[in-house]
Amino acid sequence: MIAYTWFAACFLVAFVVVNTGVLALAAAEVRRYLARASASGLRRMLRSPLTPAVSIIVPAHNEAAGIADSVRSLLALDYRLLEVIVVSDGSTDDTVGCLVRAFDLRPVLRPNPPFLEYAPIRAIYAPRGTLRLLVVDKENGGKADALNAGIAFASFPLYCTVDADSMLEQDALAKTVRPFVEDPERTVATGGMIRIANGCRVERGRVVEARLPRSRLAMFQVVEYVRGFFGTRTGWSAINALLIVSGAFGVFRRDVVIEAGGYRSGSLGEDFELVVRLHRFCRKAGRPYRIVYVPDPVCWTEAPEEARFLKRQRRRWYLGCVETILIHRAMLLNPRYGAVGLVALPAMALFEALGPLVEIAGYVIAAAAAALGAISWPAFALFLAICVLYGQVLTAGALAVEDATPRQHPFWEDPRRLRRYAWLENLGFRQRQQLWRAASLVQFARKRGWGPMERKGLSRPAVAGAGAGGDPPAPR
Amino acid sequence: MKILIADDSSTVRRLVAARLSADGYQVLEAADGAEAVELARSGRPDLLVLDKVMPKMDGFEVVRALREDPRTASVPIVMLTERTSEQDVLGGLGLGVEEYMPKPFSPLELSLRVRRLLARAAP
Amino acid sequence: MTIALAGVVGGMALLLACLSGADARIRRRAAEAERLRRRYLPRAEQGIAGYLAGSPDLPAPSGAAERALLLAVGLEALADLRGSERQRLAGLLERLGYVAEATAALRSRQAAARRRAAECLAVIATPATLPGLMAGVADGDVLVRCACARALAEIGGDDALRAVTATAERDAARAPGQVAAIVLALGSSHPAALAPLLAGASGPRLRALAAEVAGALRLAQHAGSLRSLLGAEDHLAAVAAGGLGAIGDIDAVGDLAALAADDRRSPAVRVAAVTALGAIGDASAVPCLEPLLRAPDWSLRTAAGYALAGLSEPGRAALRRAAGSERKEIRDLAGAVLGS
Repeated sequence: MIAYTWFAACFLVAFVVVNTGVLALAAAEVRRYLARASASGLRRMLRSPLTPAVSIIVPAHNEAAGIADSVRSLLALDYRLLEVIVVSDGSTDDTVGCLVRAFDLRPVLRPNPPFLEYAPIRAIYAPRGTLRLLVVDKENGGKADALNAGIAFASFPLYCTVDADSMLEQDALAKTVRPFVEDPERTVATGGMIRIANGCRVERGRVVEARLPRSRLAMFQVVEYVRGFFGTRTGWSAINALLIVSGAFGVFRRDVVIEAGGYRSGSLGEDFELVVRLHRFCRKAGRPYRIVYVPDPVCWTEAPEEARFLKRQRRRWYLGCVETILIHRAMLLNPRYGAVGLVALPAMALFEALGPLVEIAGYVIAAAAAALGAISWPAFALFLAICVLYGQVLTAGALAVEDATPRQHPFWEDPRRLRRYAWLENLGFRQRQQLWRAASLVQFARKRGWGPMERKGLSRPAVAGAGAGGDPPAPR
Repeated sequence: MKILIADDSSTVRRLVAARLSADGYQVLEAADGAEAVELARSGRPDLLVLDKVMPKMDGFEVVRALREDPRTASVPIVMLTERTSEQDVLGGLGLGVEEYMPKPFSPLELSLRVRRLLARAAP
Repeated sequence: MTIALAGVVGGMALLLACLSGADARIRRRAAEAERLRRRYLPRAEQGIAGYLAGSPDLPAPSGAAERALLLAVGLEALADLRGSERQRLAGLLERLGYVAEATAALRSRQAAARRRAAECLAVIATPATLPGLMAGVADGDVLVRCACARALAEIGGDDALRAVTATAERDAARAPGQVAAIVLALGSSHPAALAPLLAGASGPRLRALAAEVAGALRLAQHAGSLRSLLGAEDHLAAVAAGGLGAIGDIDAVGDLAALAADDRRSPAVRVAAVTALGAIGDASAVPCLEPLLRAPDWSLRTAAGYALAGLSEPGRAALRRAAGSERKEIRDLAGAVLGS
């Protein structure tokens, strides 16, 4: 028990040190970003014939309902030259038919590119007119497989992944591509802010009015996203140790991704795995590179509002994280991989992968100690207070950083409501999540293989640093 | 003569509107594509000046919607746009856009083209 | 132990209060800016638009905040305007004292203020901005230097262009994107000034950028220089080939065909040459492209297929011959290209 107390204390100190550091880096990075980014620069970039063309890849599995609107709004993005490639991953509904009717497509023959591996192609469709749209209908092979097919058929030097149910702000793509224009040789991947669309007014596949969700479960996720993106990603990006560019919205250099082997088929968290592999690939080859998080572009995504869907999503994110860390365990604490190997990945392993176990063990031990009457209540209460307060500090810091960033929909969120939910979060929401995580970890460890899994679902903007501090008791 | 200008930049809308009003036209303004379609249907303008990139509906979608509606199918359209890629120009002309003006533009030139188009459209 | 913990709790509460206070300040400031925009932006826009449409004067801004907003509107309008109206507006901003202000602000100690000033001068870019811009290219901040050099590249003049080249050379490795914008501005406003860069007088990076710009802007006057770059290293040769394709330089067909057929070169360069041959569309490239349909490299073979489709009837005839090939991948390729 005493051993655990010491362990928990060290764990908490490490958590506070790392996250405070990252938050400070985030604040500095946003300052730097604001001093650089000018609106006229963005316009110049959109007008320049040197700005690289982008292939937008949309993996879709049974998305008939919204796919036509999604594609229409992607084609209307403010960008100089882009193409949209929809990869239907063995859809059993009318996804392909909807697109064929909406855009007047006809079947075409295309030579199959031999670059990456992907499931057999059934048919390929293209429009009659000048629209740059390609629909690849292939056998089911999972999201990674669909993305690989999209990369293979892409014709431009950069590609952007967008989930079929996500909606981009019109200037989001341009802002996310900007690091590639500023530093074309080194930039290999960029990601941007993702927000929760629940509650927003949506017309024709576009968010026309930003609002906070009504559902409590979605509100908790809004808090998590704010903290995860502004507090975490911006900070890690500042030291080139960004580990997550979420599959819902990210831009990549096609040639480098192909060289690194594309997405890992059958992976639970293919987007996370790819970014870690890109770090590994580039550092190993000794090639100077940058993986950048751009603070202000916005991609709106639908968050699950039912506990069972949220549970499934979180299970997938969590196991994807654990799996990726296991795959790349050779990078852990390896100075060869710089800040990624020494700090970012170990922090991920410790706080994200092991966090749930530490926290739950804490609850159990505290309960046992209380039953035995061996607990010092004041110390216990103070320990709890530290954990809860620190979560609030991270949220407040992230909100401040976010408010300092100019946005399309300024100040739409009610900060008091957000803060209230940041407090409420501690009363059940995160304990339940930690339980889900721990349970799936036990399951995972027992199987040690991952058998068949739900291939495709919502986006996967894994939220790091969601307060994994653990609430360890302090028995005496 | 009534002209509708649709552009999400209020600066551009003002620049165009001031020039056209000075030249004796009545000007309607729309800040996004959906509003443009609505105003085009209710306000019955004689000509449209359209931006390509707008919220809610982009310029091409507006053109498509107007061309499908018999009331607005024959209104002349001038596209005023950042984009000058061949793909865009062809796409616009294919949909039945009468004129293409790339930004940066000259409001004076725009006004002259508008006058020419209206003269041609008049019976 | 308890006291130490209580101390930590107190510290955290304090930190939380500070962060919340900072957030509230940020929000208050933003709300103020928003109020100003609501109040003054329409008037500023109307004033500038009215001035350009012929009304004699502009309602003067009152106070520094309104002045700054008027400048922002003016700069935005300048970016959308060209010709005489652009000049008229630039002249107005000059008369309102913004050029003098920005020139003075270039001596500020804060990099952010200097960047704003440089960006302002670069957008106005009238002769009156020249002294400021010439001073700005010697600034310690790379963004200030590059913004000034970009504007000088538009304005031109011997001294200015010398400063432009020097800045581009100095920062080509540090800020490749900014330097690309400088070279693009140079190519758009003073295409002849690209010649020394293309000749390699200022190093390989600028040479590649100049080649890219010459191609992207389809500057036929530089086709000769681009042709001579086809023998250079891979990246440069590929850029030059792409440029010749964009220009549609028929005189380059022979050199491009030789490059495409050269199996000592990397597939990427050969693909660029093949694609350029397709873009030029001259049928004399058919004998070079037809054998490439059998190339072992997929990209090369596919590029050759699509290039042949661009060479009118002789190209399509070659594809029809390939459609009867005994090798399946060649038949499939020819079929796909002919069908699209």
